Amino acid sequence: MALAKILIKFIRISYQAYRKIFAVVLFRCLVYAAQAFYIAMFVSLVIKSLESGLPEDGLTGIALWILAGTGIYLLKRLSDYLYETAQDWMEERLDHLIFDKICRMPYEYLENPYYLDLVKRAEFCIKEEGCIDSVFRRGFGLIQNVFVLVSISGILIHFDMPLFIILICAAALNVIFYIIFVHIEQDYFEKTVEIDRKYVYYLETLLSKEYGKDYRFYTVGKLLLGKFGGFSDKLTLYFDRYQKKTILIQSLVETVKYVGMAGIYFSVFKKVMKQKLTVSSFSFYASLGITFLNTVSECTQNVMRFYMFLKYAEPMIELMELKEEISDGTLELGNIETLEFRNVTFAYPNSSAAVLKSVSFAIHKGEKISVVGLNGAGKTTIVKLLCRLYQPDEGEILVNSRPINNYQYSSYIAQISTLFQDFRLFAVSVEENTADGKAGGQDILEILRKVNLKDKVEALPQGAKSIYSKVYDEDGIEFSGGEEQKLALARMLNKQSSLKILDEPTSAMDPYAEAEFYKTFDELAGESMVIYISHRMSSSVLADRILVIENGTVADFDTHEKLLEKKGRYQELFNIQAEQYS
Amino acid sequence: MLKNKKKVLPIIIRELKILNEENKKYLYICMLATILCAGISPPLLAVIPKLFVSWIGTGGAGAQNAYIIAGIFAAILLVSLLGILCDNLLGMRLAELRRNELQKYQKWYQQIDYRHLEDADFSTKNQSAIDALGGYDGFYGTYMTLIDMGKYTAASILCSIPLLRFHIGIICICLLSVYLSGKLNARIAKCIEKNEPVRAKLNKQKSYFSGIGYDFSYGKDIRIFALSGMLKDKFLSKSEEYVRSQQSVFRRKRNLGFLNELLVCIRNLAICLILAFEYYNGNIDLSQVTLYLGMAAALNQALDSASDKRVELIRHAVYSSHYFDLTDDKSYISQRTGKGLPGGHIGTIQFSDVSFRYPSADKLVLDNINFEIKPGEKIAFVGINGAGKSTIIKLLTRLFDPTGGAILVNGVNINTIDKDAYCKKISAVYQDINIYAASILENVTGYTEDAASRERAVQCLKAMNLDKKIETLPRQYDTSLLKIIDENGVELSGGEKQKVAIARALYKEADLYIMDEPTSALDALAEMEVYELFCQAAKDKTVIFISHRLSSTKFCDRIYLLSPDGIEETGTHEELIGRKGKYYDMFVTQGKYYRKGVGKNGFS
Repeated sequence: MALAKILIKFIRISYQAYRKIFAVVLFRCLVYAAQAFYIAMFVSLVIKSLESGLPEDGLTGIALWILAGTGIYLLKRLSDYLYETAQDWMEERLDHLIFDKICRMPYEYLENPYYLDLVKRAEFCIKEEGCIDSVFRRGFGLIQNVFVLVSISGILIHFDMPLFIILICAAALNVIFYIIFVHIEQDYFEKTVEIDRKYVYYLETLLSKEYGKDYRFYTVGKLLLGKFGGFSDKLTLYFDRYQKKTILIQSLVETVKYVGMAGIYFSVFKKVMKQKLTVSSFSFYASLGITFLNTVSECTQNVMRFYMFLKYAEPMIELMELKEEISDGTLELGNIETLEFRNVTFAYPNSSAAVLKSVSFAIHKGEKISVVGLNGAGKTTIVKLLCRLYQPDEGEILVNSRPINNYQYSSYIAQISTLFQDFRLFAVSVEENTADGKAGGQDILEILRKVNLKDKVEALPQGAKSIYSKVYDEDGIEFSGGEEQKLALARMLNKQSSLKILDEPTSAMDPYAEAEFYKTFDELAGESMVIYISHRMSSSVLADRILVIENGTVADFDTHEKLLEKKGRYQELFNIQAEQYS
Repeated sequence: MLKNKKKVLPIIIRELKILNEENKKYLYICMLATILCAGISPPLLAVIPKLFVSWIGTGGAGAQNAYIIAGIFAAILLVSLLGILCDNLLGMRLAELRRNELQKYQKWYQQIDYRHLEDADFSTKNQSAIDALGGYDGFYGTYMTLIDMGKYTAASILCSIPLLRFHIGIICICLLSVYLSGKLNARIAKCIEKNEPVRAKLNKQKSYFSGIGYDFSYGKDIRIFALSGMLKDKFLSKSEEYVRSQQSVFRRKRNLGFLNELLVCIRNLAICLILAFEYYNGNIDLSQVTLYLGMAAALNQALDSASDKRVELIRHAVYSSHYFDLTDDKSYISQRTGKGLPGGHIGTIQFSDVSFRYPSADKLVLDNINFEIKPGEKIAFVGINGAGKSTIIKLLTRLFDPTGGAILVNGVNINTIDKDAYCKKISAVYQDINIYAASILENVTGYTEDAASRERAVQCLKAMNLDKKIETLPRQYDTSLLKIIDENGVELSGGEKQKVAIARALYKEADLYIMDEPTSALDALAEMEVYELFCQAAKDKTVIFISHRLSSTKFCDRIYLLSPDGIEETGTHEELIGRKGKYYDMFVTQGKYYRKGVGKNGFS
């Protein structure tokens, strides 16, 4: 993306996030410009007061100037305070916008490594690099610099043209050197993000608890240490090369600075001698000249850094520009009476191999269906399509004889409740975790009783209002793996939906908990339509019919007894497990 | 912070000593050079306008004077270039030193006793050490701020000399002013420090909610249960709490800043008054006023910067001390005493009245456990979650030590045996599958200098039926796993990863193999295959299986049924079934739905 485009979008997003910051930064800009002038003129002002002759006038003059300066500095502190606060708000609001954005992103992006990477880079930009802050500081630093430069130019052009030309030459050289430097830095910074990620990998892997056992039994730890050492050495070479180029540029810049300074002093002196001007004017113009040079230097640095941080902000901008969910349907969905897949074919976005090939089946209200098949056969994909997380490439999915996309998403999803194998719970109260985020209600304890968590929860110090997990609150409650699964089950049951989907519901449960689950399943499921995926064939007893998926196609769809008679893949898988218990 | 100040000087000295240890003595010279160079420039720069102003009075600059000015500028330039050179050299080498120190820490981390890794207190200390070594703060920052402080101090001293000779009052005013400013800044720092626990807590809370957005694994549940509204509200309220807490600190900072400016105002007035006084009394002329104003300004700036750097230096040194304190603490690495393994092999294993309680717990997880395993046996520990199966493994692998009783190998208590010699003979595979960003071969062999390693590793992978898959890959056994380091790396499936981990275990050629629920994430066919292949490859070895799925361990020589009360039953599968006790009950429960005609309620 071109720089100008990025900048415009950045401004637009910032404005959307927290518009006050622009006023604050403008104020800061003015105050800092005033400060720059004050510093430039201070010595000449004091001397001017002394030159005026009478001590009383002189002392009054000095006192006034110092007070004026103090006024500017007080305003500076104020502007710093306002900016710090505004910056904090800015970053929070931006974070909120991104949060919103991600929640509204089409689900398929969430399983796409490109977007995973994009989000990581956006996060890195905001959290680690403080790049938003830098963009603002540098950006308005630039505006302030330009203001100062233009003002000083105006004054000096009238004063002495040759001097001004010297300044322009010095400035131009400065700019050229910095452009060269930008090219060097560009390459450097492009690589650093990637380097940082690898560095973080090594750091996290070598200094983590999870791999600790492996390191004490295998030589893998030593291997990784060696690799990190090699990586570190490469980094050193890389940084050294970059640093050496930096030395050259810095030296050239310093040379220009001091030669320029010499030129300024000599020019101003010559002019002052020729026109018989006062000492204070010498001081004044020389000081302005030097300020001009310093400001040019500051300005080019600001440009460079501004450019760099703006580029860093690119992932965040790209993220905010992503298209949101596709157009929604208009119908409202009541209860799900029938569910049908009709010749559904589907391949994941970045792959060519179809995961589902012409899958067709129909389920009606109240049925309990088990989906079985080997890993990778396509079972979980069916569920994802049902939840409208993805769209089929061919064929349609119908609910109550209408394509599911015709239904309004919110009313559609209200009829579906899930318990995935990779479910997540949130660090909010047990109540809120169970009840779709809403607190209150006696029904919570009832649901918890059904999943055998009531006793545990009632025994907690704050009961159902206790926060799940210790991630940010030491008073939070840690649940064991099995208890977590029960809580997620409670969440699933609590939602009054006509379709319930479970993916490997008993994988973390021990045999007794598993048996308990099977026994009470009828009561738990009620009249809902249930689809569950399991590779433990024993769960087939819970099903009215079993959908056997093989290589992305429907191998069979029948009752347990009939499938055993048919002696196909189902019978083979079932018997492998059953034999072990004979 | 105050009590931490005592740590600062020892840390600085220690870090400086490291330069000597790492054969980088020339860096001492670089440091001195850059400090002196930085110190000379400000006074020289202040002299130049003075000279010009004096020539205005005397009517012009002759050629000789032009040479003087040129000479001074040349000197400034040279000194400046030297400074740049030294600064960059220091930057490069010190960054390298930091990376080396990080590697030293990583090595240390792998040597400490395992039990610390599970300790929450250590985890905080670990994070502090990482913070001190991972970036610009702490270890590296100490060097840099030390040098910077040196530069400003040198500049202060060199600027004071002319002022001292002129009027001692100015120096006193400057010193007093910087002292009072320092006090005000200390107030601000204390205010920030006091607020830090609150800030950290609020930050953690809001970061959690922010993190939910960035973490895609929450995506499905958020959409299906329509939780984004609730989560966003919580996020907003935590954000607000955080910013408001920060605001109160900023306000304090601002107010103290106002006081600071008033202080500066008084200082400037005082200095200018002195100069005006001397000028009106005819003791100095305008050129000297120019000089002393310039020097005073440079002095004040240098003093302020030195004061700021001093505060920064303390901060960095304190961070750095977290790292040094941690690694200096010898209690993390227990003594490596002990004889070699009697007989050189792990033979008979015996648990004799072993009891164990985790360091932070009150309840005993294991209470007087007794059993004996002979070499070559295939043993299973089964039981419900929480019975203590994994704990037995942790004790057997000496990640922890028993709190009561003894574990004997070949008749000898294992805590008298050298840990490294002991662990060399054990191979363990766990439920969490650990694959590293290295080639498939390297994942199996780890670090090795053995020439025959490649052949052996290929054999192990073959034993796990992975050779066919691997040979289809572009670089075959040298293919990288994971994409983080090598973008051409390959992601294997869950089952394949577990097989690589088992191949790693087989490669080690241990006497004792431990398999702790290695297949619970795999489907039925893959699970069966893994067990079959492994048992074939580990025919003559002692193997201990942990499982809560009773079907996988039927073939073992002996099964121990563990419950929180201890070992409930022991025997072969057939014996235990025949006994019709707890094992039978559990087995039947797990298996009951496979039987013909059994319905949902568990009955025919």
